[in-house]
Amino acid sequence: MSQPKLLVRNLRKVFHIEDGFGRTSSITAIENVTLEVMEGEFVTIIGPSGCGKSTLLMILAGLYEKTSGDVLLDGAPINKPGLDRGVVFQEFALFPWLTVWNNISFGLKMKGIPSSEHDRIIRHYLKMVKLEDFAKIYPHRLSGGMKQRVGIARALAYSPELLLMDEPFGALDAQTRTNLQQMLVEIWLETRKTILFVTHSVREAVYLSDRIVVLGCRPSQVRTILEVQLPRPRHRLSESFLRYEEELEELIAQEPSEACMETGTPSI
Amino acid sequence: MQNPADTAATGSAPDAAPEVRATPSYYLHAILDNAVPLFLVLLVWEGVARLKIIHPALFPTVTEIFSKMWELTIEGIFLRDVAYSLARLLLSVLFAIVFGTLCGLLMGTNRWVEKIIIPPMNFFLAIPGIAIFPIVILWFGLTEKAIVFTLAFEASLSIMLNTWGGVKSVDISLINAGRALGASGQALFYKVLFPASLPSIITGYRQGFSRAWRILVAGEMLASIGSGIGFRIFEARAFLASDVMYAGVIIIGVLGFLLERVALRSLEIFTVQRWGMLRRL
Repeated sequence: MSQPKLLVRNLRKVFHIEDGFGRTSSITAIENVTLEVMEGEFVTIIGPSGCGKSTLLMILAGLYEKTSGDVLLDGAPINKPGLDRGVVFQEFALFPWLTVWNNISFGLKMKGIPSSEHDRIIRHYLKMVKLEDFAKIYPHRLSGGMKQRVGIARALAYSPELLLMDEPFGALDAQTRTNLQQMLVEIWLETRKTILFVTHSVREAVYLSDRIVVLGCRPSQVRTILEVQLPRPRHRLSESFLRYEEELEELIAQEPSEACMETGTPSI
Repeated sequence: MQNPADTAATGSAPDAAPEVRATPSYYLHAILDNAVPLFLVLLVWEGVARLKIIHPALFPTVTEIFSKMWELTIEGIFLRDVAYSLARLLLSVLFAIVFGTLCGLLMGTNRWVEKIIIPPMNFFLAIPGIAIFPIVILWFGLTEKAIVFTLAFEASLSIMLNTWGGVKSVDISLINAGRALGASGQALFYKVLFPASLPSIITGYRQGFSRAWRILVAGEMLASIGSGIGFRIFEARAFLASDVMYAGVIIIGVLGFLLERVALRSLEIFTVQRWGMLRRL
């Protein structure tokens, strides 16, 4: 393991917010974050709400600009959105005017993949997320879990180097969530994508990840990195699993959540 | 699930159901739903008119009105009037759609265009099109151009306002998704912003159409241009031909109704409603 796939060094993000009456305020969302993700690794970022974990992911996606620091993917700086990364959103963000099939082909077209190959690629990913029969359906007819499966297929179809997932299962019910976690592990084992996953669920983090990055707030930075040395498939009720859960729980609890609330309060 | 028409109408079957197609009985229902209440109105009208409480010259019976309508239709007068009115309407709404949509889209995507256009847009929105009609007549004379200009003015403002609002309120996560999927600049505009704001854009077209339709009739009366439904009603006034006037008014209502229900509503059904961007009640 020489060069990391993704390198984040001394990342800082300050939001300047205009309140609509000509006054602006600044919020420091990320104080100083440094982390590395290796090729093929599944890394999860966890932390109390308001600690800037989603902001970090949006910067990696190129959707937000960073204030300072370095973000390098394969050694090249990230400063705008690009098809070398796939993004899965919490709110699914499927295009309602496109069928499932066309949602997935969107990225393929943008990447300039020859249309003769679209058919094979889309079928492959539809099969991977078990939605072969839903190709011609518009997204509004799908359940939440199915929507997010389309979201995953859409982000994987154009084979990005890195998959960024922003609390992708946060809006789903517990049952669906468990199913999708399992499916995601299967997909990861099959594709060996490098995945950076954001969540606030301890169980989800332990179930999915090779390593868990615990973000703390005030100043928001990496508190600890926990390596999960459990073979897959993992069993949520096994003793070792529960020990990891407990350990992670404690690491997060060290951070008083009021501190995060304060960070979120704009000071004028 | 009692009735196939219901299923088609609500588009239920949440998961598996592929494309929903309207069945013939759905169309039958749609027509009946609209026709029965209107028929009842006409029935009451006929009854009241036959009682002759109001002087027949002022309030003719429905049968008289329709026989007059039929007469003028076979003589070709009404057909000609309708053709003229529709041609004016379509031409001006076409201008308004092109101009209004473009302006609205630009306003929604460019900060400076937005800043510059909003004040005059709001100013002109406050002016009823018919108020500027005399001025327009000064410019263009009593011509088709004057009518078309006024209608286009009226409709384009509604379209502009709705398009702008639509683009501004596009869900940020859709824009983010589009950008993450490699769309930027023009591609983002055509592939994400435009379809995402289509519900408001169509609302704008409907509003534009109905506002233009109203102004059209008034414009034809004022311009006394020799043809058009508005002109026909106005001219009939001079001869106290109340049956012609009522017939004209009914034609205006029916045409406006059909434009809305058939043309614009269909546009909506085949786009935003099919995509689930518009709730069905």
